[in-house]
Amino acid sequence: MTPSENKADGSSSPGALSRASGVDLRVAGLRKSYGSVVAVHDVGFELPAGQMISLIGPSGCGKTTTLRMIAGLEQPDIGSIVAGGRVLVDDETRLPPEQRDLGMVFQSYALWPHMTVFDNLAYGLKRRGHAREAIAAKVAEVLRIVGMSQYGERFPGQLSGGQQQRVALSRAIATEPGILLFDEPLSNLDAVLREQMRFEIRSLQQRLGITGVYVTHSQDEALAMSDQIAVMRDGRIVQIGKPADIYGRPVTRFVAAFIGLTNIVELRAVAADGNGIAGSLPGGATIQARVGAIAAAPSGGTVAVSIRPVEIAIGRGAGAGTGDNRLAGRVRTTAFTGGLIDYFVDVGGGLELRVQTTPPAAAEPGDDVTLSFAADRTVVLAD
Amino acid sequence: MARGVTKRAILDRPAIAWAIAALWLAYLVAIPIGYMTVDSLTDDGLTLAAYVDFFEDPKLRTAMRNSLTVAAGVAVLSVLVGAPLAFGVARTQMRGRSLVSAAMIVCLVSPDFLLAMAYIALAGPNAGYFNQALRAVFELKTESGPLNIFTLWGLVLTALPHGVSYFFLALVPALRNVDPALEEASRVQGAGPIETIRDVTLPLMRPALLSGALLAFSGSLAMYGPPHMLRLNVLTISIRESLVRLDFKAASAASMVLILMSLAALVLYRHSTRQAERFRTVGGKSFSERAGAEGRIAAAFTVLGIVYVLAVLVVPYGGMTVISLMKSVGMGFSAGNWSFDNYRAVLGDPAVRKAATLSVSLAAATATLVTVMGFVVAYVVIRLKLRGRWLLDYMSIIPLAVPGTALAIALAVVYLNPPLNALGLYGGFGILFVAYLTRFITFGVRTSQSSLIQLSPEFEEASRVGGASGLKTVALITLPMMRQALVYAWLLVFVLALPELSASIILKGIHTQTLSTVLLDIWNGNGGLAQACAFGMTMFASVGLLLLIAAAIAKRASGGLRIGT
Repeated sequence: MTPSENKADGSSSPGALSRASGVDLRVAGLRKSYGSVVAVHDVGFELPAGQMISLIGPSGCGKTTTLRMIAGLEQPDIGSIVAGGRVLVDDETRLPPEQRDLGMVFQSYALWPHMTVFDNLAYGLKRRGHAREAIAAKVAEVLRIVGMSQYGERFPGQLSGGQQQRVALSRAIATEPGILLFDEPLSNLDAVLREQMRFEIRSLQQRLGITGVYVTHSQDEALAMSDQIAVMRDGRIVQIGKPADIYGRPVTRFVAAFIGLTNIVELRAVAADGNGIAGSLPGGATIQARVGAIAAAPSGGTVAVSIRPVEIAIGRGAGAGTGDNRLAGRVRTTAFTGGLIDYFVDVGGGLELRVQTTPPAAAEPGDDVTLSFAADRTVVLAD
Repeated sequence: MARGVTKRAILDRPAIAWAIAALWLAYLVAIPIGYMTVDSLTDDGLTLAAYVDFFEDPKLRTAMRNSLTVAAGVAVLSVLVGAPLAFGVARTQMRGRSLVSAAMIVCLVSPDFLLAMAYIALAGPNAGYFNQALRAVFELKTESGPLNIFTLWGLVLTALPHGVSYFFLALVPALRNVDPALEEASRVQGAGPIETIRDVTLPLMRPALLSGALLAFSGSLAMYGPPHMLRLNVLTISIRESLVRLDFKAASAASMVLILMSLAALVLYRHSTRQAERFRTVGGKSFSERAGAEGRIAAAFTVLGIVYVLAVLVVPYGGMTVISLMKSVGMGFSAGNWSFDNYRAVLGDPAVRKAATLSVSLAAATATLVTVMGFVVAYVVIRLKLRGRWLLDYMSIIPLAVPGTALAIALAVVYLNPPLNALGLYGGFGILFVAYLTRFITFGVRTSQSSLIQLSPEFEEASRVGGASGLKTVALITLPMMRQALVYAWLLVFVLALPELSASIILKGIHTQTLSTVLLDIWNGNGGLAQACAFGMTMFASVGLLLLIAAAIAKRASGGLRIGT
């Protein structure tokens, strides 16, 4: 999985940015409390060099505190952080931020308004004692990488939001840090620019082999930008994995609902066989599920399952559709949102399922329809 | 680095910065106030004797009653005069809005005894020009009156412009920050403009109204110059008289009473500004685009504004200028009675030159140290998040509640008694320096605090992540980004310290006369009215010039001119 680990020699003189500079990151058992409030509880993950992890969760989940502990801007109560084999924090060591060899892109960009773009970028290089010519060359190079070459003598206040974002990014990579930290860097941009910068950052990160930790509350950013996603809630990581796994096999109701749109329904009188479970809906129909927390499902009890609206096929009449699970219902209302059509379908027993298809519309409000979906897309949740 | 000491680990040795800030405040604030408190309560054991004596002395009781009457009168009149002016400036299209705002700031910063001088020249019972004119117009047969500035009412009028400025500067931002939708909703619900002001705007303004009035109140309690010139018996005056009689116990007790009254006003003030925070419905948003009333309403406010500026600036200082140019005040408005001789005499006077040198050095040294240490204290309080920072915060505010006269007594008691008499500060430059530092400490801390609060910590964090140590970050990022606020703080303290009177008059030595104490000497007879006016106008012009520079800087710093807390 690891492409390369080139930065064995630590920080050297600034050279070409074409090679990978990222180092692997190991975070273990981080805990941080403020008074009686535990903000981060036993957080840990391992990130191979050159990969990007997103920490995602609602506000107050501890994602930013975790990032700030990696940066050294907060100190954990206990736990360890090791980057490229070098201990940043453990029981004995607590490196201050300036000794951690990091880059960081701040939510507000934090470009120093009293310095030019050039001076902003040169700041970290000067601290590392590089010669003037080497600094100038390096700054020119990173400005070229982000397409801001002609703006070196401008002040941050003279740049647009997107340009400031690019300068902030180039400042963070100018020192070729082992780890790059992102604290919701796109939240101040408008939707179009946000979409564009998302791909720019991802392609830069992959091209330069940067190891990145990306804090966001946007599932779109997390899914599009990362090799791993850690979903956090109340100071803990509730699920960690590849984006496709987090989306396709959420472990809990919270993860299922937080990453992507989903229907969560309760199944009663659960029966398990070797490779799946079956249970009944309030309306009486039986549903099979073959993925997720099958082993934990209580025989004869109740479990919750998650079915994504886009996984459900919809057809008019009683015999439409194929699939392991088939449900009869009536369309209550529909909504056209451009690329997708939403159907809210009453399937009896007080249960309503949301279904999404691409246009054209497969049914109108009031139509009797059959919904069908695969058992291996029906995920058993652990709670 | 010590574990878990800081929440935001920014300084390498935060505890050292904390200790420096704490020692600084303890030395300047806690020691004098604490010492005087103890001193006023002891006399061979714990006793309230000094306070019993205070309340049994009819003259002191009168002084206290007079002080409270004047302060209350100024507070009430400040509301009545200041509220319409503030409304006009904040909410109508009246002409001269910036002129009125500027006049308010000039009134607040220029020394109060100058205005007293001017009003005495204009409304003195015998020679005052108003009285001469009134007697001529109404063919009165008396030699004195009908106006007499040498009364409590005269003192209230003299102190009023200061109070109105406090009130105005508290109310205008509050009026501007009300979400217009709150008033528009009232109009849509069927209320007229007057009803809307009465039922929506004014209730929303209550905290600002109260805090402005309290500032006017405590400012009037603390004033020394005007009652001195009007020869009226208020607390600040009787404190000095006690000291002149070498009755330290009485002076201490009277000072403590004065401090406690100011402290009560300050506590109420803090409470009401907190309320104001809570009343702010939309955080930090400003609604300056609001159009405001036009036409006849605006015209009425324009007239009001012009009358006010005439009454508090143009007429008094114009009158002073005229007098300062007369060869002989007795010859009045006659040809050939005009020259710059008074200015030449004053500016050439060796005593004045010596005092000017002293005052400028004092003010410059004070402004420098207050600004530097103000930054240190503010940084510790805002950024370092150490335990006990609230204590530093409170200590830095207390000087606001300590009138200069009371502070001077406290310092006299401290530096005339062991152990600190060993420093030998009393009677020299040192004691004045300590007094000035304490008096203006709050301005340095507050200016840095509000600037630091607005400065996102991310700028400093980006520097740390970029590889700079905590101290280096302060030097390369924090201080350069705050430089306008720091220059502004320096100028503000300088301009306030230059004409300082209420502490100087008690602590001056034979060889340490300040500008203001020399001015009082000239006023009291050494040079006469015309020379005093020439001196006063020179002082006023200097203050005005410095204020212009400060305003230009404040404008560039975009925060606007801020005074007080």
